[in-house]
Amino acid sequence: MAVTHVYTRGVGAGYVFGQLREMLDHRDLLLLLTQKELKVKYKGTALGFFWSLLNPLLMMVVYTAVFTVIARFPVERYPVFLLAALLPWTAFSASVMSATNSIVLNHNLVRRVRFPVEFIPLSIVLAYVVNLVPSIGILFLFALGFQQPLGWPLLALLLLVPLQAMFTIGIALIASSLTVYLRDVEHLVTLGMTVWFFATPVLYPLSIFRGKTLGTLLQLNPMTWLMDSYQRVWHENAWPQPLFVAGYALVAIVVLVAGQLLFTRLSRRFAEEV
Amino acid sequence: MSESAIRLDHVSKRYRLYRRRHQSLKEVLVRRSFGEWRDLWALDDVTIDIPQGQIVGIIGENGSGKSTTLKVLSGIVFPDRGVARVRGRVTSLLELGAGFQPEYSGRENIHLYGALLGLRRAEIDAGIDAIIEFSELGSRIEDPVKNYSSGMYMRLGFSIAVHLHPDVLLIDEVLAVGDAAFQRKCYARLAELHDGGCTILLVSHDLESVERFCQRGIWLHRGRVAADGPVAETIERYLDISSRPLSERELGLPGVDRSVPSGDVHVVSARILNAHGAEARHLTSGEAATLEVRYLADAEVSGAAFSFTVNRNDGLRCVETPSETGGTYTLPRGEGVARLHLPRLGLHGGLYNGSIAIYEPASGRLHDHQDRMLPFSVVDPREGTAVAWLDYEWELEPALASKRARPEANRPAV
Repeated sequence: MAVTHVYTRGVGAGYVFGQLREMLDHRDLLLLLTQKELKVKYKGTALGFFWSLLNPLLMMVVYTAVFTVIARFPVERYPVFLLAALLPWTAFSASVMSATNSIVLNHNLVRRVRFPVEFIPLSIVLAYVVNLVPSIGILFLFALGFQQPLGWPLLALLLLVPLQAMFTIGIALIASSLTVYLRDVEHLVTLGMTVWFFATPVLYPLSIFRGKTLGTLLQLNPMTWLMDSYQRVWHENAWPQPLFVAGYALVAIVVLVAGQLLFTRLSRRFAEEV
Repeated sequence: MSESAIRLDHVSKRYRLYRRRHQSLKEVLVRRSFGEWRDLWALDDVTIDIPQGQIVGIIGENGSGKSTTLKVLSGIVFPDRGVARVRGRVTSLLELGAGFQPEYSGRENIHLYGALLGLRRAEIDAGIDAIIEFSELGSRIEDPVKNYSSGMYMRLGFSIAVHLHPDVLLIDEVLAVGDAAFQRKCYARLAELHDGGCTILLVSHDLESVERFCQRGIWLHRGRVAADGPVAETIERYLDISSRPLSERELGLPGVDRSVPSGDVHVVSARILNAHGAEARHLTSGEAATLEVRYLADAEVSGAAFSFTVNRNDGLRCVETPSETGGTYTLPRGEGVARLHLPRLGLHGGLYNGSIAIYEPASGRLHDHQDRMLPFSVVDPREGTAVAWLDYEWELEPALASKRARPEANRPAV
C-alpha cells in the first residue's frame, strides 16, 4: 500500500526511477506552475500575450530594414523568412535565460519543501512553448498577407515544436542546476545565447554560405538543423530535410536525458547550496 | 521491521560551513576549489526506529540536529552516511509559511501547497473548505498571504498540513506561534490524526507540550541521540543535565555533590508550583510561580534564612532571593514548609536550575545547600534573548506618538 521513501547518499537507478515516479505523482503541480508562469507573464497587461509578440515583431521590422535595404540577402518575402525562425528562436533563448536563474530565485521553496524541483525550469519552458501556439497563428496570418504559399509541410511543426521543447528543457535543466553552484553561469548563458543566435541561420539563409568552410561549420550546429527546418516549412512550403530532423531529434533526446541525469545528481544538495 | 513508519539507520549528515565561498566560475577555476569550509556533523550516527502510529517528541538545544532530522526525513537534504526510510505520504511543516507565495491569496496557496505535496487537483478541491474552516481565516483567505500575521501563516500552514491525510507528519516548532486556543485545537487535531494511525514527529522547545502530548521523547545532543524512551524520562534527563553549566557537563561530572556539611536544618524535598498551584517543571514567563521547600530541623535554630538561587544552563546566575532582607526566622524543631512566592516570573525562555540554601546570615553558618536540585524550563510567549524581564514603562516628552500604549503593553501576552 504505502510507498517507502529511502534516502541515502548514493544516486542509484532506483533513485532516478523514484524521481520519475514522483514527477508523475506531482503532474498537477507542473500544470499549476505553468499556469502561474503564463499568468505572471501577462498579469496587468491589457494586451495580454500580444506583448510577447511585440519584441519579435519589432526585431523583425529592424532586421527587415537592415537586411533588405542595406545588406540585401537574396531572399524573397524576407519578413516571413525571418519570423519563421525568429519566433521559435526567441522562445528558445528567452526560456533558457529565464530558467537559468529560476532555482536560485525560488530558494524559499527549494529549501523547505520536497517536490520535483525540475518542475521550476520545466514550467518556464512549457509556458514559452504554450505561448508559441498563438505566435504560430499570427505567423500564419502574416504569411498569408505576404501571399506566401503554404501547405502540407506545415504538419511538420507538430514534430518540430515538441523536439524543440525537449531540447530546450534539457538545456534549461543543465543551466539552472549549474547556476546553483556557479552563479555566473547566468552571464555565460546570456553571452552564449547571443553568440549562438548569430551562429544560427535566423537572420540569414544557410544557402549564402553554401560551399564555404563557414557554411560547413554552421551545419554542425543543431539549432541550424531546426531553424532550417522551420524556414523550409514556412518559406519554401517544403518538407524539412530528413537528415536535419533526425539529427535534431537525436540531439534533443540526448540533451534531455543528460540534463535530467545531471539535474538529479546536482539537485541533492540544492537545499544546502541555494 | 515492516511496522516501522520511520527508520534512521546510522544516519550522519554533514554540512559545509563556508568561511569563504567561491560561487563564480572564474574563482573556482583560478583557485581550484569551491571555497574554504569546515565540516559540521549535524547528525552523527543517529539510529531511530519509530513504529507506525507513535507520537514522538524530539527535544534538544539549538543546533543539536532536530531540524536536520526532519529535513532528512522529508527528503530535502540527504544523509552522507546511513539510510533513512519513511513509509507512506509524508507531510512536513518545517518552517512558518514554507512554500507559500507571498503574492498569492490564502486560497491559491492552498492549491499550490497541496500540489507541492503531490496531491491531485480534485483531492485539494475536496478538502479546501475544511482547510479554510479549520484555519479560522474567514474572508481573509482571499487576501494575499504577504499581508498575514505570523499567527495567520501558522494557522493556514497547519490547516493545510493536517488535512492532507498524511501517514507521517513532521512538525518543527511552528505550533509555538498560534494563540493558546488555536494551539489546543491543533493538538486536538493531531490527536485525531494519531487515532487514525498517523505517525507524528514533533520538534519543540515547549517541553510541557511535548510531555503532555508525546508518548516517546528523543533527546538529541550535538547530533547524537542522548536519550530515547518514555517522554517523561527523556525530559527529566534532559532537564537535569542540560540545566547545568556546560563546563560541568563537559567534564562528565556525575552530578552535583549534594552532601553538604550537616547542619541542624536540611532540605527534605522541594518542588515548584505553577500559577494554578500544580507541581510543574515547565513554567511560563510572566505567570506566577511558587517554590515550596520542606525542611527538617533537628534542633531549634534561630536567625535562619532561606535562599533560592536560579542559574541558567550556561552557568549564569540569574536570580537570588535571600530571605534575610525581610528578616530571619526561628525554626522550631521538627518539620516545616517554606514557600517563596514569585508573583510574576521575570525570566525569559530557557533552561534553568534552582538551588536552595538554608543558612544563618549573622554567623555565616550554612545548614544545607542543595545545589541545582530543581531543574525547570521556562517558555516565553514573547521573543527575547535577555535573561530577565522587569516591570517597566517608558515615558517620552514631548510624546509624538499618536497612540498611547496601554500600561499592560510591556507585560507578557498571557
